[in-house]
Amino acid sequence: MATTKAKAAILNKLRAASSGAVDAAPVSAAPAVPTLVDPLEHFVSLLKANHAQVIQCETARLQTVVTDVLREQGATRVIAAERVLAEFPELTQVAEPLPPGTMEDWKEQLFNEVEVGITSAHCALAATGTLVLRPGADEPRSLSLVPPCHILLLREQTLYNDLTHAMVDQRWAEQMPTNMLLVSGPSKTADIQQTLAYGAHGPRTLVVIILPQ
Amino acid sequence: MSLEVKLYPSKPEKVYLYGTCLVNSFSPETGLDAIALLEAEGLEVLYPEGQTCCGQPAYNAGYADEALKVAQSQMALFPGDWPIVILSGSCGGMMRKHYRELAPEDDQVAAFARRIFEFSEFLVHCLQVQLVDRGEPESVTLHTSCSGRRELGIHDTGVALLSQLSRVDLVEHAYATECCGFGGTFSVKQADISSAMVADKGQHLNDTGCRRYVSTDWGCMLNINGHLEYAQRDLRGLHLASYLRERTKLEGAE
Amino acid sequence: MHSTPTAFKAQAKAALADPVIRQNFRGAMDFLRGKRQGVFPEQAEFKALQACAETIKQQALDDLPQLLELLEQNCTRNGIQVHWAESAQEANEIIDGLIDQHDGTQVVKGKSMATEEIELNDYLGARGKDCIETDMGEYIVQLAGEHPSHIIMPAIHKNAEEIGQLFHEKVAGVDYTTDVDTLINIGRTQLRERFMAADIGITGVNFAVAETGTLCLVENEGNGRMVSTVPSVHIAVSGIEKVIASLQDTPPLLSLLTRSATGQIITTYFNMISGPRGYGEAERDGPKEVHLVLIDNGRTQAYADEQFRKTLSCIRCGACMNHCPVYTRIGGHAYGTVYPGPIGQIISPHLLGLEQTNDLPTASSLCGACEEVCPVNIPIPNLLQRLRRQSNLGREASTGIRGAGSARSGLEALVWKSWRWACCRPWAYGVVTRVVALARPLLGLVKTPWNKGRATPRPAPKTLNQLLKHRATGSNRTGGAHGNH
Ligand code: SF4
Repeated sequence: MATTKAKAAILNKLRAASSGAVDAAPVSAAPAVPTLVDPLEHFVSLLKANHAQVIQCETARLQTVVTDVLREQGATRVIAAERVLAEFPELTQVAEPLPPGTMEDWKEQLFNEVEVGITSAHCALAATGTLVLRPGADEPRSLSLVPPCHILLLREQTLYNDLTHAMVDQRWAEQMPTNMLLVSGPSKTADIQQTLAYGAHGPRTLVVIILPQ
Repeated sequence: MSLEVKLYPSKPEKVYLYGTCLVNSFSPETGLDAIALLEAEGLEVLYPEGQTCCGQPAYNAGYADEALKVAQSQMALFPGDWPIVILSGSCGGMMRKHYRELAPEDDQVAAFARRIFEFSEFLVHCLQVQLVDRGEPESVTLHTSCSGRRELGIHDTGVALLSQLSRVDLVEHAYATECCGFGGTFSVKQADISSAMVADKGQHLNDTGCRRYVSTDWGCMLNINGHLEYAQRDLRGLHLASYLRERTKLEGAE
Repeated sequence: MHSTPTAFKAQAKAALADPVIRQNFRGAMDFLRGKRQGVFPEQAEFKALQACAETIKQQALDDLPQLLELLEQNCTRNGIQVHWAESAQEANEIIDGLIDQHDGTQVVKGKSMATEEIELNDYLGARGKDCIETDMGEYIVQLAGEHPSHIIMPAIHKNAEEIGQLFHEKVAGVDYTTDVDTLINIGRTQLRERFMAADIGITGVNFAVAETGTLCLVENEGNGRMVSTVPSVHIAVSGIEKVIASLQDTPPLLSLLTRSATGQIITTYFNMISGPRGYGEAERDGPKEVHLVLIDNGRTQAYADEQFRKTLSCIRCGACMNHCPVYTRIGGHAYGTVYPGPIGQIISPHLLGLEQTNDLPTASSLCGACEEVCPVNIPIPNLLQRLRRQSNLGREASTGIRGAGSARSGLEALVWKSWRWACCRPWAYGVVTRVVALARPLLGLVKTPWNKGRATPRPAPKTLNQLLKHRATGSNRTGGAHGNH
């Protein structure tokens, strides 16, 4: 196949040119991201600055809080990831699971009918105001992407100082899932005359609900 | 940016002066003014005969061999171990930084490069001059050449010297860090772009309302003054050495 | 509308004369410079991060062949199929073949400079396949039948009025408006249909992590996610230099990229893709196939030269163009190359050969603003100077750069030889400068390109060398020549 030939040609050219002796200049360690005095506060303020709505609430009040958000959004078709419904069964009162099957079966509904997607955050990064999503069988990738409003549930104790901390502590490199995602606000663009507009292609509204322990 | 940490010697007895080709031909007073200022600090100023050009024009144009030959002829003029004070940031960048790229293996070239000091940095860091302002109150703006700013880091020393002048109000112009558009052969090979750049620079300098601007580079100044003359503006530039001498009313030997 | 690097001077001249272009770029560059400044409050922190990133990329390049093989291994293990292409043509054939293999009819694309580089849209278009750009800027540019003028902000050359007019003309049922929210919403609505219907999605790659076989995409809009999530096939297209060794290399690079590019401490999305749907667990969405196309297209040529290899460290942040006084004035299209600005000036000669790109190395005052902000410390002015050398080479010199020596002018070479001759002989130099000084009244009559907007400088009647003639080197302090002044 042509691509095998290309591979050999490319690698040969590179090998002929690379000094061979890999005199590894030690990678100067990345300057540590300063440890934040109040990571939660920092996290929340950055998210808000990035136009996300942030709500801190007791787990017992979750359903009420979500209901309020949905009312504000005027949403009628709300889908929650199964992972979320399993952890917070009370949300079945306000959200339904995805229809059975794969995306091919419910793609049109997701694009045309679903107004809100509720997913979980795997962890979060204070230094950049970022949520880490780890989609999987019980939380499809598109649920945090296609509906115009995205509600994210975060456990406060999963807040890390920064990306390197999270990555090292959780040993991501050993087993990366098919998809992992950092989200730091609602979708946006400044492609027209540097004017910021939200909801370019992804969710226009991002609501982050922070739950204690 | 590969700005090395520059080590400054304490005040020497003697210094060499490198005039540069532009000062030689277009503004010899700059050279005389610089000598007067250095002598007033008690230094003996050596001006070796045979100075032509540092080689930068050819180097920038992509004629490195030619540049190297000329560089070698110039280095030979400075056998003593004295600092070499140079009246241009861009020639200083050439001699301090690019000579070594032309002859990377040569320790003597490296040693020569370490002896190169741009005029304003020499006054500030080696002589720690104290200037007494004897001029009338005036506003002035400073244009630092790009090589001076980015290769030698001398914007601060220009500011430091002008700030010592008690009756001079140093005004920063808009886009002060942006290039004037000279760039050696660039000004001829890409004359349209170059002249658009200098038109903007002239505008921004003029907008300060100052009557004069100061620079340490005659390359920039030929360009900017050429534009200002063309555009029939009153504003003109002069070299920092001449400006300092004028403000301090130093009597020279002439 | 197609500009070319061979017509650089004419294109630059036209752009300089266009007040709208001048205003749009000046405004945009001021904005981006300001944003970057705001997120690098401390130079020391920038320097530390830059040193780290420079080493990461340098090492990745030192180990490039090994890392590419490791990347292929780990991608394959993850279910990502890897393809290699030596040229743009080969890359296009591979992608076209993949589309055919899946009977693809609807192709959507996320922002990718690599696919601009290989001119994928034209290639597919010629084969009757539409490839819809989905990044808002790219979408606008495609609607206008143009090419991106900036590597990060493709439609930066247009203002809201121009875009409002464009949408009004090209999108059915749209009234003229300059309201940016409305305009973006129009784009959103149009493109959502496309995402839903697409069967093939094409993106670029910001970092390809060898250690884990992960493709990283950096974006704000979510179109990259759409393109790599909704269609059943995702094709990622990447230059071979995008590979980095380990996942832990990503945080510093990501931080530098977003801060340098748009002044954001992080973008809205950082998407790490390590495999197609269900590779590991029974996922219900995501592409069923993921392909990675690795492109050489001139990169191995740059790699072969120790100095030019540095160009491959580039993380495509665009900071060099944002800070370039030339780019700021002529905009991106004038360059006539896919990658405009300083980075384009140093890589285009490798992609296209020096014959076509001879003007680019000369289009710089070597002011160094680009190098100052480059997050991976690429010595751009030095490389431009090196390219000037390469394009001036005489026949005798051999070099690995395609088209070396193609700008050699016998006259220019002679000028510099004569200049050298005189500069090495002070007596001759003295004669020349004295003659020029004597001829000063006549100099104003000679018109050269310099005189575009500039008066000819007048030499002084006497040179400094003349005035200081008798100032002996060291023995005579006052020197007789002062009296001449
Ligand atoms: S050369 Fe440097 S500044 Fe320019 S795009 Fe590449 S990384 Fe950014």
